[in-house]
Amino acid sequence: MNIIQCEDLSKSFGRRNALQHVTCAIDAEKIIGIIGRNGAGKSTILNIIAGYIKPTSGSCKVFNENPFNNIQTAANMIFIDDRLSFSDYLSLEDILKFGADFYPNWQSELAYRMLDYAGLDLTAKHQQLSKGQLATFNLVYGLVSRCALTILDEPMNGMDEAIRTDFYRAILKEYLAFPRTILITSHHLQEMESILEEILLIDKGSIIAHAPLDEFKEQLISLSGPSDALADLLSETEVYAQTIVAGMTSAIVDTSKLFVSEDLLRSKGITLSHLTASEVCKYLTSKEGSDIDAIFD
Amino acid sequence: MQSLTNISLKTIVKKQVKWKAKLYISALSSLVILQIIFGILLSSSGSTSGYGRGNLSVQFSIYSLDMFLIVSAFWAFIVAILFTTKAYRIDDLSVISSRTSSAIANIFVMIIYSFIAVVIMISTFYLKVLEILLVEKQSFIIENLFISPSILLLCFSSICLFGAIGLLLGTSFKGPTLIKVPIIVLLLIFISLVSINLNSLMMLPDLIISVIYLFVSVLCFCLTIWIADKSEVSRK
Repeated sequence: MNIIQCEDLSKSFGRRNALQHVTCAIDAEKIIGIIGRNGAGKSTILNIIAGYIKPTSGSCKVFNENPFNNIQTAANMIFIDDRLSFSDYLSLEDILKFGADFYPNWQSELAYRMLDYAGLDLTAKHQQLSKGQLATFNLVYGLVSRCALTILDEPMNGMDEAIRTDFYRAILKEYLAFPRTILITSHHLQEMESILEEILLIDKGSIIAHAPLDEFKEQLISLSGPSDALADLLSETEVYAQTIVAGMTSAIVDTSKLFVSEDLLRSKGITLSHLTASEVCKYLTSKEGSDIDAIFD
Repeated sequence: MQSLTNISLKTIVKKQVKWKAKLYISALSSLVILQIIFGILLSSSGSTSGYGRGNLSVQFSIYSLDMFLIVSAFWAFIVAILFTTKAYRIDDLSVISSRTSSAIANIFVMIIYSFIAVVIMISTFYLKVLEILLVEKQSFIIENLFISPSILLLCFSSICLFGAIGLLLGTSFKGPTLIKVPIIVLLLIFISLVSINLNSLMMLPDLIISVIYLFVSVLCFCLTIWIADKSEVSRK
């Protein structure tokens, strides 16, 4: 069952088109990574889904309703990002009581245990926390609220590596204990690959890929071999990146346009290697001909 | 799929009012400080006139609630504007809420605070009277020791009106451009018209003035909810 349905969704801020004709459907009870470069439109789509902003055109339905300023959407959704803020008068313990009063599925015990594990002082104020502590607290707040739709926008920003690893496990464990739809954006795709079921890749305001993780990783493949053996092959497929060193070519190509068997490639001395989801994202969203080295040449 | 939570707007508004009334309590302490500074320390809170004949010199001071009311109304306007600032609106996003629920909750908090402001105002006024009586040891001609309910209602409606205008103005500034410009222009025209006709308005009985003030307040509250319902919000 789809809990989010976007049809031809566009959003402009003045002359800038943040989202352009986005159509997508998101199933219930999945962990989905919303991936894209800075300014790709990730936060815009999340803000529309959360009901904070209106689309300029098109429609967005969350739980079969228009989410904009909708109390039912708000009751079943939590949006966690690094700008989550609370009154200056509340200590962390007060915030937990505050959350418990509003969210019907709130897990107080779990919240105390997780904050104790992270070493957060419950008497501290939210704005007194360091960046990493703030991210940890916000993530705990989002997880223990157990909302049917949990949106985590860069939840690990500022956390050190050890705590990040722990909290990816915490997200997974909480998801298993109470299945819900989790939309998560992060610049650490490699780290969170293990918990994702689907990836939704946004680039320049458009969705360029939406697929289960394994299917997504198979979209591109790396080919390496003698340049003359690869030349014909590369002319027939879409090449995302190519390097030639001493007569040997390495290229990233679109798998769907590669109509050659693996055995045939091996016979020509061409080796295939699979890419990580992070690498696929990088190549699918890199600008044509963009090369940082070219700036310094 | 897990069952969805069904919560009514009324339940959310109740919870928001409960928390907001607690969290914004510092606004009331600021009113107490303002009343002490303006009502007791800086001002005599009364209009003074005097005359003399031969060795006799008589001086009259009329003590009234005016200064306390002006301070309270100004306070209500500022507090209402503060309630609509970005920091407060972003705080609302941390729990179940919509712009509509937050606007309604702000209105209820404003009404509750207006009641409390009247109590603070009257208490400070009596403190002032006590100070004159005990410290300055002046003679009193008491016209009305107990403030009449119609005066209390007038004080409440005046504070409420200024709070309502503040909420409307603050919400309009954050609303869609197509709405905010006409609302702000209309509000400015209304304020200028009231200022011009202030004398004729003041000639009306207290109860009628209170009803007019309350009617305008309700109108401002309704417009506030309507604009909030159309407004976008962002944590950025």
